[in-house]
Amino acid sequence: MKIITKFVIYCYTIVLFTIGALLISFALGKIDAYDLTVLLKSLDTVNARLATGLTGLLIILIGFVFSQIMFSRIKREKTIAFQTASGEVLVALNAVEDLIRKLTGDIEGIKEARPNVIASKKGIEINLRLALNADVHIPEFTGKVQELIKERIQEILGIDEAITVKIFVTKILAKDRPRNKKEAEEDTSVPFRGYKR
Amino acid sequence: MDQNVKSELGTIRIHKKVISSITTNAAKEVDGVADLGYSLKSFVSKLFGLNLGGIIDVNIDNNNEVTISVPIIVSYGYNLPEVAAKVQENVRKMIEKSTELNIKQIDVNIQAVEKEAKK
Repeated sequence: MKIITKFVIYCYTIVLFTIGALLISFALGKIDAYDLTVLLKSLDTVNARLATGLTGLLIILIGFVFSQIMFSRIKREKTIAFQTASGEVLVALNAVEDLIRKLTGDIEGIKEARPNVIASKKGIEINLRLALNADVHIPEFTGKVQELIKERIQEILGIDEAITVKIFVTKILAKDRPRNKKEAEEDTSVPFRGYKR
Repeated sequence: MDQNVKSELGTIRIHKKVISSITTNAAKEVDGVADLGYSLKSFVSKLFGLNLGGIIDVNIDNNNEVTISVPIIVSYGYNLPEVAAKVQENVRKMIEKSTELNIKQIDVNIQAVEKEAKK
């Protein structure tokens, strides 16, 4: 961890701790309301106002940097990382989801797929919500899909980590049946049909 | 901060944008790279017409060593670690060839997989 990151985290903790301690002291009656009034009145000078304003600005700045650090950490957790000789390679979980969407799009029998990939210390967990055609044998079909996704993701990402694929069948849809000639002819609209003067 | 290379006649300064530009071309040359990725900085630059820097993040430390971060989008059907390794290799090769700078690290960030089929 960088020194500046550590410094910001310490500062933020101290600021929050101080505010919390002051509030608790006030609640317990350790700080008198009159003392607070006196303190606030003593701050009513140009220099004191300037110092208070700068302190407020500093607190906002520390809060902003702290949030940036936290967001970057969250962002980091949304990636699969591995190290190569030249540097680090980060694969966004969104990229893995794109890959699964494409993979499932090629499988006949799947109407719609909504993947959600979670990376943790235990490995990679893929939650896949599927809309299937009505003519598939669900246990056999989903088993094959699980195997296929597991194999392909392991192969494409080149990782040895455990991959768990959970499938939720959310919809069973009727297979699109090809329209026969008669139906097609009936649907054909003739221009000005039924038009009378 | 720009990168300085000393020659017999004086100092040659190489701007970060040059390194960024070489990296962009080198990364796009690699088979399997559909496009460069995106960054918040480049989005804000584009939106407000500011010059905050491009997609490629270039950092030069006190020892004059360069660290580059390249976000990419990979075409569907390619092995991701292989593409990332090729990007790192090509970027290193092209920067060393063009600028003779010391490359410390090249980080590749695969942000998405493009849906277009492999050519």
